[in-house]
Amino acid sequence: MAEQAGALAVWLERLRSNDPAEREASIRALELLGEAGALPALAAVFATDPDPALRLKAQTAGKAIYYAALHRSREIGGASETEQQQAAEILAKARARRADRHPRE
Amino acid sequence: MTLHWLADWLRGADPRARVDALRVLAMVEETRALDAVTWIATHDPEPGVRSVAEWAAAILRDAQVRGHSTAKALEALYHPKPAPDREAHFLLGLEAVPGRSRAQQIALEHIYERHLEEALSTRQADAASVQPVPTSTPRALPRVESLDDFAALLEAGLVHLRVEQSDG
Repeated sequence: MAEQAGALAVWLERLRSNDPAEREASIRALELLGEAGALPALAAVFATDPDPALRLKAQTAGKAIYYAALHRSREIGGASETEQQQAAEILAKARARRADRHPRE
Repeated sequence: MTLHWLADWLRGADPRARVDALRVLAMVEETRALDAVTWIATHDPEPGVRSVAEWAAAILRDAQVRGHSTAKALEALYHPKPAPDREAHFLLGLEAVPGRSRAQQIALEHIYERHLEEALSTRQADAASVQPVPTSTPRALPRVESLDDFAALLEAGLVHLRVEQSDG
């Protein structure tokens, strides 16, 4: 987690570079990191960068991060803790039954 | 990091935070925020914020006009519809499998659908052709390793959970 935060800080710093190639590399890296914390910086590039191609790349990366964050929050929120616990217990029992039937597996 | 901060920033006292939130909403073309952004464009006490809100509202209106929505984009990214020919092939493959119980049959369908979704993930997002971001977030749900696991979940009525399937 700390490593991820460190990488985020490094790439956010490089996103402010005067070199468009470095800004582009930063956009790609931030997209791969997938941290929602990068959205404001990417949005700043989208809104103000002098290079139209970079603005588009920032938007593409920003959308990918945003959608992934929404998707994660929906998946995690989709099942209650009780249901998850119940499912875990059921699976453990199924696995135990299987182990009884096939002790050498 | 969740996205709750976006709404907080938009309503917050700091004009710079409101500008940041408006830029993010414009960038991701969050058309659900159009009403809020339009309201800010008219009512925000800071002229600079109103100006950014007008710019953002124009982007969101354009996105809305061309039919974009976050819900559609998510659907296209994470739940692409299988091609009709592949679906027919899949259904044919499931027919007349002797000796298989109904629970096993349904469990097999679940497993196959999962594989099918992965195989057919053409990632057809809207105009931006966005790719999903690989995520390292650990999933809280248990792993399903076999048909027996699925059958056990079926009996408990828990197959609606998006449980993770092991590769093996």
